Amino acid sequence: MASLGWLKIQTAAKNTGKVLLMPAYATTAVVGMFVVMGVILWSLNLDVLRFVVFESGISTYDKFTFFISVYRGIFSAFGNLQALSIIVFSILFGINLALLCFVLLRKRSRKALTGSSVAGLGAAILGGGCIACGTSVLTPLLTSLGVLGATALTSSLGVILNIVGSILIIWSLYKLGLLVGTILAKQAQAS
Amino acid sequence: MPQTKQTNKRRNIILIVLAVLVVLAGTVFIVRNRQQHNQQSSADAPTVNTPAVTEGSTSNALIIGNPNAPVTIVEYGDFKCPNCNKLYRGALREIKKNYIDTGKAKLEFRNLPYISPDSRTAAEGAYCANAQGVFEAYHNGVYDYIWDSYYRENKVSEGESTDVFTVQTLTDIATQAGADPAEFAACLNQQTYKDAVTADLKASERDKATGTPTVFIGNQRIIGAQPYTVYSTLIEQELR
Repeated sequence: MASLGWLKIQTAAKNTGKVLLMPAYATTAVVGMFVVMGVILWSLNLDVLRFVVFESGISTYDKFTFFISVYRGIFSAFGNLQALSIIVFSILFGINLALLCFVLLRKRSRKALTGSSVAGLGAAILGGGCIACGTSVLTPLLTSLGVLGATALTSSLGVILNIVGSILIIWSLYKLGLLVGTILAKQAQAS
Repeated sequence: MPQTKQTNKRRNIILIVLAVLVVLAGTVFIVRNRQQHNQQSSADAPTVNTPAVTEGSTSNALIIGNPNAPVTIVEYGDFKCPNCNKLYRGALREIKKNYIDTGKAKLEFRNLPYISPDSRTAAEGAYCANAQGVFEAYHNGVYDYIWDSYYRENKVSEGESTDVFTVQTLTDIATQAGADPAEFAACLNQQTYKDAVTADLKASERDKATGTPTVFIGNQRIIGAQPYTVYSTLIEQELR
């Protein structure tokens, strides 16, 4: 059983690699990665972003520099572990998005829409910010539950949520990877 | 076979339902958080040269830089907050060099003692130090102390939950900053500036600063320790 499971994982990984070798899907993965990282990093300051992009009188170049500054400053804004967990999740999400596009374009089936990829993104967004400091989208919930404040749990919760998000995405990647194998096999048969 | 298919289908449905619940919960929290922020009208938001707080602490305002500088950067912070420390060690150093030291902006620090009870002690100590004219050195000393003692070695949880800022520790820091130790210790023990910190907390509620660090530049609120470019862009907007 273990060897069958491992074989499936290897198969899913190989199929993922085949998709990523196609330029269109590699691009999708990279773009998806940057977009989702931007969503996570800007989730607490959307008003500021909206103001700068749509209301300020600064140049387009300065607006672009402003937007990407959060990417460059990820390790100064977050602890090393949290920053790494955000990066890892974003990479996995980008790859997941590429696989999803590949499967949907060929299979046109709802079966490809894995809830775990959506849940993974939700978890990662929740994990953004500093939960113990109150600068997190989880603040209203934790305040109403009376658990806000520095505890070992709240300090680690951001990282934990990002890791949970990554695990959910990995599960989605595994399922999609296997679907890709089916599609590629059918394509090979047809040709 | 059909039973395996059924089991798989059931498992997928459960997974999808769980996923939808997580996303829904996340959306509700995000929307609630946005609603709390949006309740603050632009008239309520602090604007340049108009401090948000008006009750009691204005005359004791904790200022770094020239009080007559045209741009006011308001920071709600907790001396024990690790992200406030990141802001202090990161973007704030650049802001100080490029804007505060050049007289273009001033930083008004407001206490939001959030993390643990000794956060409040450190907050009152800020006013005690300010009374002796050494607020900036005290502010830097307190952040440096907890960084060197805990955060540099990744002992974040320990630093947040331990009673780090005792009266003695803060007195030592204030003494190094140039304060008279006996006067400072007496100020802390007598809780001379308890009401000033309470006024800061009330101001934070009015400004909807729910966590630390929260920085206001003009009408814009920046949550968390963001890179220097985020702040400098907004400061430049205010300077126009």
